[in-house]
Amino acid sequence: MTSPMYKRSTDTMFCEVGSDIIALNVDRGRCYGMENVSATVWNLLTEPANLEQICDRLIQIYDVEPQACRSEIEQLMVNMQNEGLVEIVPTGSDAS
Amino acid sequence: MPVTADPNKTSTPGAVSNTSLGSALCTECGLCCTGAIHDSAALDSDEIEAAKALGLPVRDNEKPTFALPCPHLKGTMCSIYGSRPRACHRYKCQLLMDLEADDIDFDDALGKVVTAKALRRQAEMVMPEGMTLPQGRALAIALPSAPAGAADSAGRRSEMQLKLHTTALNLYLDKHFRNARDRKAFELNLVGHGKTGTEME
Repeated sequence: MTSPMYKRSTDTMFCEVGSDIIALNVDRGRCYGMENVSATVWNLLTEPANLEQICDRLIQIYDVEPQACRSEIEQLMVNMQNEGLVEIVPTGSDAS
Repeated sequence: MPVTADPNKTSTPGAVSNTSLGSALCTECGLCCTGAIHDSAALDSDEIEAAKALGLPVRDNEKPTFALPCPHLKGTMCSIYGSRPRACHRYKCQLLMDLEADDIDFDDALGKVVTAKALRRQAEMVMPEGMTLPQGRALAIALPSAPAGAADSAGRRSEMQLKLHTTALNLYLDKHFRNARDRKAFELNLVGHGKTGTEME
């Protein structure tokens, strides 16, 4: 079973500071910092992607076991979703 | 601490002292005079009249200061270098101190100046016309987190653009340019995926 597709929240604006990302959820008015892996994941989400697609890419970049990667990224996506930075693409949508 | 241009010097440092490298860095930067790093600069009590005569925006309080940006900053250069206030002469940002202490090399320091100036431009682009960097900073800090009106209103988005880019600029300046005692009150919530966020490094 594949995981849901994630995309950047439409309520989020961001800017790059070197290799880091600072994002702001407009509705909440709070700024969030993303470094290292979380910044890489954010950059991967220029297009909607599911957990498998994200982890496949991360495994190419980082020295990490697939199972550990999935576990960590699963938690990261929950955190990002809770902060309103990403959202799940509704099933049947064109993912735009 | 911007310096005046010396036509006999090249902007590319060779095998020179750290002080000369510092001057070269300041010549490329000038951010301390723009109001990006500080809201104001201190004046000694015996400098107040001279500062007024120079046209500096003096605040003649118990602790006299003049407001930044300095009207005598031309590009990245000081146009009153020979008669500038003592605070300008004394001032060294953290990046300059790091360079002079050999804690960072010149190219890395210059790279941080380039990044800071790019962040400054981004912040200025979303600030209302005529607003100074200290004013933008004060406004960004004062902006409430919760929306006053509809979250998707154009006004709300403009305010949040200001908050985002001003926060990015100031966090970068806090990290590389400001001394510990001068850091600003910008809040950032780190988003990680584990205890440290670096397990996969």
